Amino acid sequence: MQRRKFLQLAMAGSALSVLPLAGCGSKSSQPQPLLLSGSDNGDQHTLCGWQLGQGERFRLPVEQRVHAPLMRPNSQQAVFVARRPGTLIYVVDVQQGVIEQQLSALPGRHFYGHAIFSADGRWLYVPENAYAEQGAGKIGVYDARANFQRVQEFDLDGIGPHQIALMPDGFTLAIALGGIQTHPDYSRDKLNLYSMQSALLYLDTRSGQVTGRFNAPHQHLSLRHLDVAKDGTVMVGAQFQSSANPDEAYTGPLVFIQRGEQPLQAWQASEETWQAQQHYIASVAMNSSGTLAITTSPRGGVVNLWQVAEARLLKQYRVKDVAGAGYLPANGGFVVSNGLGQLFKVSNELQLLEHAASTRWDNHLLINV
Amino acid sequence: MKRTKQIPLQALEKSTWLRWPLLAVFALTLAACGKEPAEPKLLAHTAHEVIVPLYAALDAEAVKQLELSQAFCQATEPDQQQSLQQQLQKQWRATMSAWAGVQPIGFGPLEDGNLRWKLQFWPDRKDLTRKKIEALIASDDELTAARVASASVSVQGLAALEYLLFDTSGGALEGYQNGEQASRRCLLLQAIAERVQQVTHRLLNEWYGDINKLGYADTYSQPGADNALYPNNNASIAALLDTLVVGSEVVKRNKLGIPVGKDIAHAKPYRLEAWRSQHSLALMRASVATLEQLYRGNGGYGLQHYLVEETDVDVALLRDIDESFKATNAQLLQLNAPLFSQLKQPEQHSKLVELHRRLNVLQGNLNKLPESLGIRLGFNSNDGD
Repeated sequence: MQRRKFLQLAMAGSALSVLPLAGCGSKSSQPQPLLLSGSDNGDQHTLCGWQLGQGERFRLPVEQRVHAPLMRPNSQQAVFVARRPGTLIYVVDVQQGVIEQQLSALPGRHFYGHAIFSADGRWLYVPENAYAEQGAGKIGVYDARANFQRVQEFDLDGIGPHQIALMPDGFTLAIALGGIQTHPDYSRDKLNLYSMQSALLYLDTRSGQVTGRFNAPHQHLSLRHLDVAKDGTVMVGAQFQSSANPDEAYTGPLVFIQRGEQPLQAWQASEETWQAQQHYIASVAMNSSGTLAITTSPRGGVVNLWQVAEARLLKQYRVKDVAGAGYLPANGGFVVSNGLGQLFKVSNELQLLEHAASTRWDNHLLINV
Repeated sequence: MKRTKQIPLQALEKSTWLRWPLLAVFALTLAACGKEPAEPKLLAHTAHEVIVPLYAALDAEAVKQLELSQAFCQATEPDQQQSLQQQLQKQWRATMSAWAGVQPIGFGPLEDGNLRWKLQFWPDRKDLTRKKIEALIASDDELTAARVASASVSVQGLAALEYLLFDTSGGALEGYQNGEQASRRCLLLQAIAERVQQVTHRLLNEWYGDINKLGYADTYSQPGADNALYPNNNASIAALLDTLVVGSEVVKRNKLGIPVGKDIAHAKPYRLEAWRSQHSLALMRASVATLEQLYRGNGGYGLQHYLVEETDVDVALLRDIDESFKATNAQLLQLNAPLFSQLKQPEQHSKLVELHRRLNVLQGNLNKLPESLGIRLGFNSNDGD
């Protein structure tokens, strides 16, 4: 027993060698990347900035639980969007760690937790639920140069726009249309499971017209999250939504890719791989070259590392309550966050980077390099 | 302090350097408080004295099962074959009961690499077990433990062995004595038994750990910022609470609720766990016994003690949990095996409905624990966005 204890100490000691991300030698002025995420601390919703290797930069209590943060290009501004049925967007100066502005949704509207900026940082495109209009999906357009005034909106002819991204052409939006109708009067209940139709949409911001629609291959698959590679490859993560008989549960693919005019192409993996996701992909992220990707599933407690070209599963790691995901170029790996306050590096191995005490990292993570 | 060869010098020095000041501080804190902190005691006891013995028991039964399967397949005299098959059936029941004792534990290496399914493919609504096993026997494949390990989960594990030992056609003694496939059937039986034992052995070893690797029992019971699985005490306690909540739900719903059906006309005997061997009742008892051990601590410092001594959880809730365990056990004793043949008998069915009611009360009470402790079971996993 003595010897055993002693060994544990020895090993615990070696496990303490948490590696700094940029390498030990670089004491240069190169700043460590800043991670942005919503975080819950007890019953308090906060906006959190966390510098790798240095810890918390700011933690700002807010009224509404946020979902995904994003940086405004060429600025120190980040926005954090409230998740459904939230109605606020927080604009944060990440240098100062202060909330600069708070935007409210129009009456009869709420947000879905995601947004994207135009490449020049001027326009903010925000998926909205016009719940007073039978849940029609809209993209609200806000002018960041004019105090984020709402200037325009695009109709989607569909329900439940969720994550949104800008295509490499600079004017097309890729929109994951979840297809599920909710109404704040019914909390977060799904109201249309028998008629839902999810799709990946493309919208031209110059004309406001939907220019492409790729329907989900199964009626109860809800396409929610996406990422875009430099070559325009779009990766989509789905959730399976059904109140139907669990005996007939779906065990098929939850991750798809879309290129050019081709239909959505399912990634091939074993039934067991998909079952391990428990019908739920929280985040998807690709590296900058679009060769590697990760998906997270908090319900299954797994992170999958994929090779994109062949849509092949390289690794599956178990990480409890994992959700947030991003790519860190300098690090050659992905970073994921979880509801236990942990941050992991995901590459050909899984490495615990840091632990933030009393922190539950919420759904999505943004890495600002 | 004597140095052992196996430890790299560097690690030793590092650990000494890093740890001694911490230990000193820790010792001072202890002296100041005059009391051993309760969480490490709870977690260490739960891991080492409740969970590890369950895995050790499972592995021991799997070893006996493998040995008996080999003895059965080596026997040549019909009388001897018959006797050994009966012994092997009995041993399978013992192994399966030991598995049912491990089954509710919702954390640990069992969750890796689909091992849970590899040990027990269930539920098997389409009877894939029969189809896949008969196809494998009819194939030209070499029937080894390695082949089984790479095969569909439906031909691995205890449910596959159950088919080969209890099914009225697939497990019949004649199938091992006569016909072209007799020897292949026995090869497969031994290969699956060997594979099961490899998996149970691996699980036990991973809980124990060895000189090169910290065991899961220690990982679980020594939370900390550098622990990739359990960053703090609450994370470890949450895993235990999650096991109680989900484990009781699985017994209630999968082992009992689905076969019992909404009324006797809808009772489904083939949805019982281990319907082929008619061992369902014993398995339910074994799983409930584990939940109770995890709660009461199996004679040592368990969750119940911790809740009473260290937390302000309402004593009324603790009393309700205590009583609902007792009520569930009392009803489990009211039942007669096998459930398979009695499920559609009105008297037995109504006893099962009552058991379901009591399990529902137990599950509901356990489900109140996380919130009353301020521990959230899953954050992102309950999100739905």
